[in-house]
Amino acid sequence: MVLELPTEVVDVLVSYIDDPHTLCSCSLTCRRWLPASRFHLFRNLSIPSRASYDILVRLRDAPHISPSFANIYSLQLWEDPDKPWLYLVPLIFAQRLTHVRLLTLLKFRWHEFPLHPSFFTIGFCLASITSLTLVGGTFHTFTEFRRLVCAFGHLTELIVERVAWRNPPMYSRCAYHAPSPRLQLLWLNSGCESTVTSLVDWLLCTPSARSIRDLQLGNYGTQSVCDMTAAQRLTAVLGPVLENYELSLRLTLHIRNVDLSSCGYLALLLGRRVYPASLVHLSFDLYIAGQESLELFAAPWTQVDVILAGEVFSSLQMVTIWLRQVPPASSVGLLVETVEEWLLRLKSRSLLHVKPWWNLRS
Amino acid sequence: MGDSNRLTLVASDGGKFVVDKEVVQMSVLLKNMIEDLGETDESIPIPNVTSPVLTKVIEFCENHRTDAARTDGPNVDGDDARMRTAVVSDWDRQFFDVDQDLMFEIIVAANYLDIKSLVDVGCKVVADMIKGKSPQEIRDLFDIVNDFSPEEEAALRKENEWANDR
Repeated sequence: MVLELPTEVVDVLVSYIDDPHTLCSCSLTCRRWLPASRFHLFRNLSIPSRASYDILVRLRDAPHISPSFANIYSLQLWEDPDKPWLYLVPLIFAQRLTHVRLLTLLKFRWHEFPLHPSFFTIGFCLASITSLTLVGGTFHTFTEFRRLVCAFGHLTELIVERVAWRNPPMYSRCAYHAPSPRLQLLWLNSGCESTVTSLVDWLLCTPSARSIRDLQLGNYGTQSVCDMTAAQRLTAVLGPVLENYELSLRLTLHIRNVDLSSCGYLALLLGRRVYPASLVHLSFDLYIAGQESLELFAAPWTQVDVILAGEVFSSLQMVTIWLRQVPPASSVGLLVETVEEWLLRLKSRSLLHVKPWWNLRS
Repeated sequence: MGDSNRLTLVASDGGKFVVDKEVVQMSVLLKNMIEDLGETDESIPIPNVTSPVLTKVIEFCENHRTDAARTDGPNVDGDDARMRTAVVSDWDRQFFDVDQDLMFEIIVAANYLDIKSLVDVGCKVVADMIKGKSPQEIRDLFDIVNDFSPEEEAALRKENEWANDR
């Protein structure tokens, strides 16, 4: 006889389940598990297709389902390339999505299906949104991207991942006087320099240039955003007020010209462009492609260790290094030790935390 | 008078455990009891928890006794859409590498003693265990009786179709 878990423990247990398929299984387990399972199914609602959307439209007025829409905290919407439906959200769910804080739009192809002007009322429908994530989508113009971002009056977090626009800004970059976001966090990842340039040029003309405290720069393929000129300009402007700074670095080695990828630039970046006065937390996502390159990476990282251990970075409370990719067949534990050896000064001050990413556990 | 920094816990089977007050104060229930009792040599009975389970609970608390101080810094493991919350440390994973009955007893004891971090870690580990399982597999794991009628279950499955369309 297995001990029966109290209902409050079932609630905590279900709260740690993040995939809808398992949450559906939990909801079907027994009556006691249903309320928490349904709550979390809707709490972080992911609508992966037009078919799913159509089912939810049919369910939205059911008395036992209808209140669940008001519980949605995070909403993920995946565009359907064959039957676009995202543009319908403001029309169909306007009155119901009253507490959504995080909105994620994925795989949209708005260069093929230009957005109807009414779509931008989404900001009024989802007035509680504070975080907007755009992933793997294309706008017809930069102006549409900007209109969407500006539609959310309380936006503080913008995550832009592999997003592009077919037409760049057609105006003087500071000519746009509509209400602009006052972001606190910007996550930026793109392999296209012109995309990053357009976005940075615009943001630097908005209040966000003075309000962003948390800057996170990713990498796309072999290119790190922090290597792009516009991103360096952004870092330089934000530097004095940054509190959290995160870089995704791909540690690759090009044998012919001994390019240390982002490593060489990193020391320059930290030494000259990031002003440490307010920097409390610095984190790196490392993608280590090959075991053979580790020895060469030791020198630039030791330099980083010297810079970060310096008096000017005395505000630092934590340096976190996430191992996001390691060479095949390598020991994650040994790699953690290797990276710790690069940064001995920080380690001795208990500032350093080197951790494998959740799916790299040894 | 005994050592004022230590106290004795008595498990449901009579087992006695002398522990640092600082350690057991991870339990909100015990912390409140200690505050109510003041300076005393009296043992504290834990009627719902057996010795093997209490041994594990104390082991967890001793290992995590400095966590509160560590979490004063930036919360890198806080709400993060990129799944960082899913990380369970190697120590915690090994701690829960026990038979399933004991694992559930530890979680229930942690809930009774109000040790949030232990409930959380235990639930994360169990959540990983049930990931991808069918309703019947979850029922078997927890020895749960299906109390839905066939019609109710069919209706629920139909409602859930939106989430399974991937």
